[in-house]
Amino acid sequence: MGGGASAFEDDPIGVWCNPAGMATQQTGASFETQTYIVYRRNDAAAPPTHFSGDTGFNDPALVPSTVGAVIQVGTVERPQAIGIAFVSPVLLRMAFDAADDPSSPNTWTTSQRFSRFRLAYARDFKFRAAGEEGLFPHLSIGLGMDLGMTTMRMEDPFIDQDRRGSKSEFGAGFGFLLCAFDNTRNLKVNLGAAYQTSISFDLVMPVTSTDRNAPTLNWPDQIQLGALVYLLEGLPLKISAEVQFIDWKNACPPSDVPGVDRFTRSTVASVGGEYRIALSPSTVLYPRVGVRFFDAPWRSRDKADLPGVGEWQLRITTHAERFTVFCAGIGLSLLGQGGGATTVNVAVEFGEDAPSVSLGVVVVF
Amino acid sequence: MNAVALAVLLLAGRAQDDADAKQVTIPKQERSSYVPAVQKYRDAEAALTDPLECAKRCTEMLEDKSVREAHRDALLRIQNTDGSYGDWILFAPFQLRGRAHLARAEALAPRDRREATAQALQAVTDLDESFRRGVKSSEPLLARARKLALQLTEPVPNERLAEAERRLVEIRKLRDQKSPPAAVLERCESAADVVKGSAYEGEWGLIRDTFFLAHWSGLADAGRFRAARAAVATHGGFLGAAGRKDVLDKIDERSREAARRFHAELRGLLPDQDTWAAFVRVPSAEIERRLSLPEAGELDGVDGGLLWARRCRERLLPLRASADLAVAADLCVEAAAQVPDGENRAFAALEALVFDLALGRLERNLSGALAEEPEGLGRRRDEARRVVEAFEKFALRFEKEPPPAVTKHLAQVRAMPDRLPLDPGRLDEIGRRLLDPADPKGLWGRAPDLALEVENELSELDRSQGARLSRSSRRKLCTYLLVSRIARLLLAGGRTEDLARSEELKTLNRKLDLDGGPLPDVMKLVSPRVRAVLDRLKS
Repeated sequence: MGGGASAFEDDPIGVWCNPAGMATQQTGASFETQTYIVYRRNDAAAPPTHFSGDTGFNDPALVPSTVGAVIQVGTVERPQAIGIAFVSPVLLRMAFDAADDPSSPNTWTTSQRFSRFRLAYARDFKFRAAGEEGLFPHLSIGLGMDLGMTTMRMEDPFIDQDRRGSKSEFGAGFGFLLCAFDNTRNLKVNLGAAYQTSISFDLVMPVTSTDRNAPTLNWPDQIQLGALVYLLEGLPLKISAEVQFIDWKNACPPSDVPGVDRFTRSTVASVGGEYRIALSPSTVLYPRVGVRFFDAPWRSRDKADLPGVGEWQLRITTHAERFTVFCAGIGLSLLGQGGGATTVNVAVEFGEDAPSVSLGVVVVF
Repeated sequence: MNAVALAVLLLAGRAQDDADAKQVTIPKQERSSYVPAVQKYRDAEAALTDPLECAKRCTEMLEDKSVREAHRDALLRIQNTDGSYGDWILFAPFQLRGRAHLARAEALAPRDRREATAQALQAVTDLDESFRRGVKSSEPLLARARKLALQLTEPVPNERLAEAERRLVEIRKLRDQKSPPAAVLERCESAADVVKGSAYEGEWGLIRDTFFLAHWSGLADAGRFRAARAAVATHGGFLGAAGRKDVLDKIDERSREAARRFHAELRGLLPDQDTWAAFVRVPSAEIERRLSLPEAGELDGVDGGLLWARRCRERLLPLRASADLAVAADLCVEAAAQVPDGENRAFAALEALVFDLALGRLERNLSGALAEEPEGLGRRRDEARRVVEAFEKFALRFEKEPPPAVTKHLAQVRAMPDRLPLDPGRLDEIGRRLLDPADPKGLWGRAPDLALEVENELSELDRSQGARLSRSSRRKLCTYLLVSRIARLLLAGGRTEDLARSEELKTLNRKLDLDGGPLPDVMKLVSPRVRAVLDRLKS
């Protein structure tokens, strides 16, 4: 659905996207794995100069992008839930070059992965009884405490140099989810907002051959604002819209490369829809489409103008400064006789420097 | 109710009636309670063809704490896991249970007015509760249930009640007069149609049950097992199959108990020691009394123990006169097949009798055998052999191996003939040697001691086996011993007068006289002087 989930209240992934969204959920768990855009060497020059986007797995490949669970511990009158999740949403497989370093005239590849382990709590406040129509029937708030981790590997295959480092720091996240209107029939509007704190790893990893620190980044601040509209009866369509602000600018040190700027803030706007098709009393199909407008954290696709991190300059081959990403997916839900459901979701995305695929399973009890 | 929900209900075909029922939206957090509950409701509704089962399931639903009390007999809409809502569903366990009770009441009304009334009243309670909760479709059902309950609780027409009372008075009278149970039961059965469903049914049923028990148990206690079983078939129609089987099992058990009593009495009549004597000592009348058994006509095939007991008794009584070992053995072998699962006292008793009969015959053969002439002794030996053979044949008739008591007694019986008198062949051989004129160690030998060697041999035989020898053998031994000793003493110079006074010879001669005196054939062969001494010894 384009990637926005801040106003959702029916997916355990909310533990990460917006902890408030889990307050009214059933007990359940989710698992999702996806591919990432990785920039790999794509020419035969020595040293190589062309690093284009490609589809790749996480590093290591078996690490899922999201795995989490929600445990409903409240009552219908006072829903509250505890969530636990491990997320690995960002993998920076890039290439950097210390252009003015005569001792290392080559381009170094980097692989920096960001992960968070989150423990969250959410509580819902009801202003109307279940099933009662009207404005503001309920408000949920949620808070998550995080242990963030980053791993960095930097290598220059041409001169056979390889450096590794990792670091952990604490972070947090919180959000709210307001059901703005619900007539319980054909219109329900949710508004959600979440803030994920930055995590300043400040990972220092000297690259001895050049006597410089590796171009490591911190986890950026992230603000998400989302809306979700349920049309329900007659037209069981769910429409979401979301905007995210990701502060990559302050997540890295200033550029020391002359004439080259640092990374910039990134804005992601998305809109998407999900339709509900009941194939049988126990099987539901969810076709989904979405589009995402993604401002890349660099001002220009021109190689000379790609951002710098300290004395390093990004050396990837990218197609744009702003991407329009098309998303399509499908979910198949099998409803259990005990009230639970198992849903398998598959999605593909096109439009960035490489396509990507995600596969997930959600089980609610 | 909104228009869409109403449309859904219209499609469901129950809409307008239940439009006023409470509408409840179940949030998804409660799906795990309500989705199974709604499924149970649907299953119970499908089971309405079996009202008892349907009512039972509804009661379980109504006792289910996971479904809120306020949500019963309401329109439910369960939120889906994706946040959308399911269809409106009428969840009405009170109404459904009321329908089940009503169906049951209508089915029972013609034959069980009391139970039908109870069911109808329960239907009224449930349907009233359902209607009170706004389920309008319960209203016509409630009216139907109330009407039925009213009909069922109306007084029974007086004529019928009066007839029922009159019949019960007759039955009471028979009971108070201590009439035979069969007569009371027949009267109960003839009044059944009138009394059932009336206020007198309870007392009527109590009297019928009491007299049914008295009837069959009285017959069984009297040993009339076939009649008792026939009584169950005739008057036990009100019992179910299990109830009839239970009564028949009890009759069978009493039959087995009677057979066990026969075994015990038989054991008392035939103790282990002096069995035969104890048996014949008891007067016939007492035996008849102690071994009394049901008539053959009162026994069925299942009374196998008693049928055998009758055969045993019929053959046992004549045995007192015949003392026929073979008959006793037959009875014992048949008894061995009885009471496979307990102590077989009849077998023990009859085995003791067989053994004692055999032993008695053998002992009679032994008695006086020492004085028996050869012919009589031969007859005794033949008799002993027949007794042993009969006992051996008896032991062989058991399957597998004979019981331990039989094996032990067989060994004892086999040992008895060894106690009959002996006729050693060696004695004849000694006699031939003694009287052979050509034998140098005989009476005509030249040695001074004449037949001293033979005489010593005879003395040794007398010491070792003399007490067990037959009369004829003892006569031979004493004759040979006396003539050889007299001849030896005469040859040594002894005078006839002196020898005739010898105490030793006199004693030997007296023993010989007891066994018939000297053998005539020997006396013809000995010398006149020996005969003279013998004559003098006689005088």
